[in-house]
Amino acid sequence: MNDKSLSQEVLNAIESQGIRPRGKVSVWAGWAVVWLVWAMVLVFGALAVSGTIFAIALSQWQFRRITDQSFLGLFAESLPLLWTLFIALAIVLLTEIYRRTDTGYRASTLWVVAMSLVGTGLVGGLLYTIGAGELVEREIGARIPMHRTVDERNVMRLGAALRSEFVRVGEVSESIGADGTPLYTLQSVTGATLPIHFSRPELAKRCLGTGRSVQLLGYPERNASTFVVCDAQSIVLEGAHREQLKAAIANHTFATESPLPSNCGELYELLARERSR
Amino acid sequence: MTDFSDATDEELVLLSVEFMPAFGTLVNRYEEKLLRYVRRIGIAQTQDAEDVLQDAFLKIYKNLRTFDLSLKFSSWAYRIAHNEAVNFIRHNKRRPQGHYVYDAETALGQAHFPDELATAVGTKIEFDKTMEAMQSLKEKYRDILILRYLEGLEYQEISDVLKLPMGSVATHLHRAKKALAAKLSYER
Repeated sequence: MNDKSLSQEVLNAIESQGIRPRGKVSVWAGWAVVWLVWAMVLVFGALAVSGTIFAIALSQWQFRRITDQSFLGLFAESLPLLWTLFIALAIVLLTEIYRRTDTGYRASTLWVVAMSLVGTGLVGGLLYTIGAGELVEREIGARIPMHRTVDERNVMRLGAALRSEFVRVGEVSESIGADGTPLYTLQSVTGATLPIHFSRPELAKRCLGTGRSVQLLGYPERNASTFVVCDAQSIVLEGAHREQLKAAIANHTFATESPLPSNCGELYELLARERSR
Repeated sequence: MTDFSDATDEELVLLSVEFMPAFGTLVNRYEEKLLRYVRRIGIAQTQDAEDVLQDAFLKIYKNLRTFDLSLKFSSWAYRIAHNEAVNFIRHNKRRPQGHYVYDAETALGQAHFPDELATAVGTKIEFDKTMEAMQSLKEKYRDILILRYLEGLEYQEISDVLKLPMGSVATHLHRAKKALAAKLSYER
């Protein structure tokens, strides 16, 4: 076969087999599918990021003095399952989908990874602002086996080792205790009144706004009905989350070998022992 | 018959979508190069190589609208021909069928005088050894050596044919040269 006849054969085959170039719609649809899947991967990765942001924001960072939690530790704890899962998915699919397009292979692996991280990060931040993070962390995260939601981690970290009281601040009455320090009486969510001392005066500012819900960490004073607050944070108690937290704290009992702390220093030591077990 | 010989490849692609005879010019322009290429990567039988090339051209025609104009048409055509040839070799479960003799015969054919003939014969023997060593390399190394040194493609074109990032082209080429050098020194 010479050159000319090959060319002629190709043209004959095109005519005899009725071959036509693929239609515009078919080409467009093919591209649309590729980029739609890519966009979905980006959105899933972004949802995971928004869940991580939510977990970090809700991780009771205020208690780091007690829990001895570093930010890196907190970040590592918040990201493992959902985020790494989706980021990995984003990278794998980007590699498969984008790099197999007509010119996608021109992008380096580093570019693909950076695109996945930046893309999911930016969109994730946006999704977090509209509440997607809470949905991911509390609703989807709770259904993933082995995954501890931020609420579960908070309960474990704080509730298991410390005495914790939920208080909705109603009437606050202030008096002077026997040792000369201010003594406040707050109304708790169970309706009971709670006489408290603050171990540090600045903690009072965090708690004593009327209508505010706070979680108080501390210990009951021996031979007295007062509760000494070592640390405190404002909380939002809503629906099932409220019941879950209340139940978790109420069902907690200290390990028998752990004596009740009698000051904040002992409380920190107790926590350190609980953590190391 | 309309003469399209002055048109660029990319213009011919756009024309061919609506006017099939323009595609004939593209086929004429590339059939010799691509036929040589598919034979070089392992389809030594002329009839097989031509069948593979015909399928490649039909595929090119069918997918004209997917051609990305940021690519060179030659790279795209090489890529499709490459894929068709590799599929053919895999489908027939064969090792590449020896090397293509065109290159060595060219060296011989161009020799006119006794001294040159002796040099050309020596060149052919060297060339045969090199081609045999090349055929025994891993496919990815063999292909990249052929594209770079026998087809004379630039790195960007090789990247487009093999769908490899530019960095990987340089890395593969370096490793391929080392592997080839090792084979040749072992055979000697």
